[in-house]
Amino acid sequence: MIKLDPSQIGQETLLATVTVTAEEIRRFAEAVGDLNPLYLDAEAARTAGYSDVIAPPLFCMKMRGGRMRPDVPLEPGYASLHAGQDLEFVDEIYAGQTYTITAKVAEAYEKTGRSGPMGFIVREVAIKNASGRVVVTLKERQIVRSAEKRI
Amino acid sequence: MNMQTERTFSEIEIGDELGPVTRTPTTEMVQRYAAAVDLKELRFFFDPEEARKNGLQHPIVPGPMTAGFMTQLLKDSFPGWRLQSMSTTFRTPALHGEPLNIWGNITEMDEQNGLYTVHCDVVVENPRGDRVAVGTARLSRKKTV
Repeated sequence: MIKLDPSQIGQETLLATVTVTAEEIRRFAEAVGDLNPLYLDAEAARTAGYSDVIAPPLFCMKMRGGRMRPDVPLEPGYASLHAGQDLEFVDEIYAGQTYTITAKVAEAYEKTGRSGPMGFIVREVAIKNASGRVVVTLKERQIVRSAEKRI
Repeated sequence: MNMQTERTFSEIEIGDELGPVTRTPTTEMVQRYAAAVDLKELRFFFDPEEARKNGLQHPIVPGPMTAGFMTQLLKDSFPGWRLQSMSTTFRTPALHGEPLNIWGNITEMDEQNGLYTVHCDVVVENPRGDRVAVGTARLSRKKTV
């Protein structure tokens, strides 16, 4: 079901180096309806002690890209869903700052549960600031199952 | 959602409730979210035929968008506090246009190394009473003298 070369497990991949803009933060905040002034108004952010507007916590999902990466191919007839995520926020994401995003497949395994065979892919993503300090870590779990089973 | 006024550590108690708030992710909101996070290539989030091919009865709301509603509840409940971590399990897909009820409660508090910390459970439930997502979170704030 999961077509992954075992040598790819643990191999860190550079996903992107991005400079976050206040406009991207605004677009994200408006898309999720989270209109906290800290995300939209530089003056409000400075009053609260930040150097510029900060991003909502889940903005890190935009930074890692829309879909889970590195890509792991599945055999035909299987589909997958996001099963969960663990996020650690060491620091805020600031407008105007540059960040490097890396990711790796930490684990991939298959098992048979009550609803039949399933696969699990666990990825770890790290977002580092320009000094190389990790500011956000994301561990996310993808569940793979037969596309025949409708949910 | 309205932000609450700042609360001091002494005003918080284990068992205090967060929310509830209701968020209804419409198809338009899902499309805006997908555009904002570069998710448009995953068409099963909008296209009913693609959803069926992926084993879904209907297009669904991206899990991280639902998680965003959870972090919003936390940040709005604790202005001035930092969200340090959040773990989320997506239990069943949320459907477009369905109101989601989001609430939480404080499960643990501590005060050490110059920091106040609160731990919370957060739940997202659909109108049928199914838990769409459950999570735990930790927020902190520097102690003031």
